[in-house]
Amino acid sequence: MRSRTKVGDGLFNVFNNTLLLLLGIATLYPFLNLLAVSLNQSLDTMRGGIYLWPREFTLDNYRLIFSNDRLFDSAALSVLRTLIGTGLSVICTIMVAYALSRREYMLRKSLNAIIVVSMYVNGGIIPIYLMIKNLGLTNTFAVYIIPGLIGAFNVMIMRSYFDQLPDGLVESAKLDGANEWQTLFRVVMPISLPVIATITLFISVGHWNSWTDNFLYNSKESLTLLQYQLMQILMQTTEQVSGGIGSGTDDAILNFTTPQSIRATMSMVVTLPILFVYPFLQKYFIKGMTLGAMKE
Amino acid sequence: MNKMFRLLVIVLVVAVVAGCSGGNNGGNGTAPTNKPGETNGGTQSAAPQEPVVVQMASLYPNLDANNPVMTELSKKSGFKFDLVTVTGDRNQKFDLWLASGDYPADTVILKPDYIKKYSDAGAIIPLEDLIEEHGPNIKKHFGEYFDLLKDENGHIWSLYVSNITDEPTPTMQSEFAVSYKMLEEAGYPELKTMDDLFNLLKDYYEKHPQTNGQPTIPFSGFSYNDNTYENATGPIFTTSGLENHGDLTIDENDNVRHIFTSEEAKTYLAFLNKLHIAGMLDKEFFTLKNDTMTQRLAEGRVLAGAFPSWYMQPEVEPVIRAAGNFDDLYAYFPLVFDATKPNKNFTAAATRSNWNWAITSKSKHPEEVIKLLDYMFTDEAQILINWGIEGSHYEVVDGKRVIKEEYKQGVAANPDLIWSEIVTPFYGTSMYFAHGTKLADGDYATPTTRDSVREKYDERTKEVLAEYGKEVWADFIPEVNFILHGLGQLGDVEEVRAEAERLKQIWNRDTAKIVFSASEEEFEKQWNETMRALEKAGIAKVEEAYTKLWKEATARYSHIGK
Repeated sequence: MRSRTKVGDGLFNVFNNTLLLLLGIATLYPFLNLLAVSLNQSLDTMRGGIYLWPREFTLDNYRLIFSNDRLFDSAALSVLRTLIGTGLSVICTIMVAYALSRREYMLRKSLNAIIVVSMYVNGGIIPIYLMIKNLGLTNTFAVYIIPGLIGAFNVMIMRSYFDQLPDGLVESAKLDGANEWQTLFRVVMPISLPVIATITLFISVGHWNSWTDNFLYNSKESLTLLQYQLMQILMQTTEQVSGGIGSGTDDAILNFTTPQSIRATMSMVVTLPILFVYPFLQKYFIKGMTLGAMKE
Repeated sequence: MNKMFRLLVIVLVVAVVAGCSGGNNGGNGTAPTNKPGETNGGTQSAAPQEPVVVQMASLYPNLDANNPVMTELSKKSGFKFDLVTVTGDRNQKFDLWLASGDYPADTVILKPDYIKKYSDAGAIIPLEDLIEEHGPNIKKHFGEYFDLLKDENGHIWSLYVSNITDEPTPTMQSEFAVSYKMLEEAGYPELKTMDDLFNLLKDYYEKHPQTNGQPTIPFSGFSYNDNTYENATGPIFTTSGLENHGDLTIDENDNVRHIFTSEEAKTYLAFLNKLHIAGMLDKEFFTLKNDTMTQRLAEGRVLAGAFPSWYMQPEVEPVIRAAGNFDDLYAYFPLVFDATKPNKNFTAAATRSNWNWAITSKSKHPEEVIKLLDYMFTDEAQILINWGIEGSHYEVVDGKRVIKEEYKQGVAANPDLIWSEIVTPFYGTSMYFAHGTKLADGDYATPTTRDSVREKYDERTKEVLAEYGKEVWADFIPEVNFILHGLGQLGDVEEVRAEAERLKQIWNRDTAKIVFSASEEEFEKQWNETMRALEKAGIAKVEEAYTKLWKEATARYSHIGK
């Protein structure tokens, strides 16, 4: 009998491991492909056939991207925006969600309705632009943070989490003489760390990746973000190759790089910082999930 | 009581919000306009007056606004430039500018469709009076063709240069690419007609069904935007020597014909069908896009095909050259079906209207701006923006301008050098004279000349050219057909837009079926079916509408020099 279980176990292990390995490879492959393309000479990439390893290794693509003098400034600005934006946004979202989850709040139903409607209906790009302009937010740093401060979806996620917290928690805090602030920050927040960590991740990745607000509202060079800077490099190369604006004068001056290689390099430059930071944040996710269970 | 209270609070909140927003005047948010005379840093102006600041749209984010040519231009013209950069989705930005009024104070650079939008909205001003007063160089440059700038009401909305050159552009090349390998084996025959090509392909394919271990593909093609333009529609014009005006062509009586129902289209599709029946047409003829096509060409298996120069020159040739496979390159011949008919396909329009310059209605000093634009039409300015500064970028050798070696090497090593050395907001827009134009001093306006083009060729290419007794691919082209304007420059006719779209859809859907017919009878059947469908969709109406447009335009410009 022991030998049967051993064989069964062994087979299962082999099968399981192979399947998971294949899944892992399938998930990792696009990323590894991009890495290979970014390290391969661009004209050679156009010939096709690059899968996991670069055929003609070169650092030229990276050199082109890093030779852009505004790159580090805009990266610093991106980091600043992500930190400030995420911090403010999370706190505001918590406050709104908490208020909306209190059953005694009299505007609760109407505000909930307004927030849900706002997720589906908006004015379109030109009215939004006019509004931002009339608020005086064009060409400022604040336009990165203030308009997107409270996201309806995030509020709903957090509110549902607060809704399912046991009532006894808040009641006992009130009984002990806590006011609303203390209830929120000392009692409710510490046990909501999973949802707060999740929302923080959403918001911070959103801030890190965004470039449309830069493109639409800010035209000053000193306010460009990392993503927008990279987009500019990509646009420039695409224009010159595809016979757009720059190609008419100097015929066929193909640079070192082609749009495909630039896109791959851009993806690397943008993803790697997040990849490096993530392991350090991971422990907060795990911690939040196990912290502060309440015995009913 | 509770419900009432809640309702009351909501109403109050809404009222407060509405009241606050009512006081805000929606239209006061224009960006601050330039302050004349405001300079950044020290200005050394050779001009007698204080330099005027001109705020202009620039399409290049990498442009270093203080590069040597910009500084020199500032000095010589007496203007200072305040650049507002546009990147990313340009059309979206232009739409936003138009709606919010946030466009740069003095000039914008737009394509003709946006020029129309802006002029309809009153965002740009008509220029003909300004040019009369302050634009002598513009008038001189155009000469008798000046009226081509005007629209049907006599207004000039945007500026661009003319295309009247002394020599044809040396970078021109024909559409049909034929592999060097095949030519060499056949002893470099003279290829004039499509039948010559067919026989050559047949002979070579029989001897070499495989190349580098993979099947040889005698004839291939691709379409850039999934609209069968590059592989099925465009070559119809070139192989029958017709003028190419989009999907339309114009016959001797100034009548507009649609290409889809023409005899020439049937001839070309029959040719493709013949190739297919002989097993020589690429199976993926209708599904290849430009990057997959490039890969295929770089593998060296394709023997011939119709490929436009704007695709081969920047996207394919560098890849093949970088890999060192010079034998895989292609020669370009202007092949036709009937070599006795005159070939009017290589057209040159009299004006070059692409990214055009317009003066906005926000400008506080339009006369100054037109003076700047007028200055750009002088020889001095053209040398500056095309060649650079004498001594730094070019030197005069034996009375002719030559780009300096150091500068050339510098650009070859680092292509981004041009942004910090020579590029101005005028680069690549419709403000530089066409290649092949000669200036008053008898020398070329731009560095792109026959010699510069020849320099870029590799040794093998020069060998092949020498076998035919030519120096550049442009030498193969029969004479250039000079026309006053293309039908495309006159804009779309709104009333038949839906029909035109439907015709395109039918054509795109059916060409694959027609070309891949298994026999000649089936070809005839499919062709007739498509013709019936096109006629039902209103092809006659489209032809009529465009004929009317064309005849009106011709009448309007009939006084211009013949």
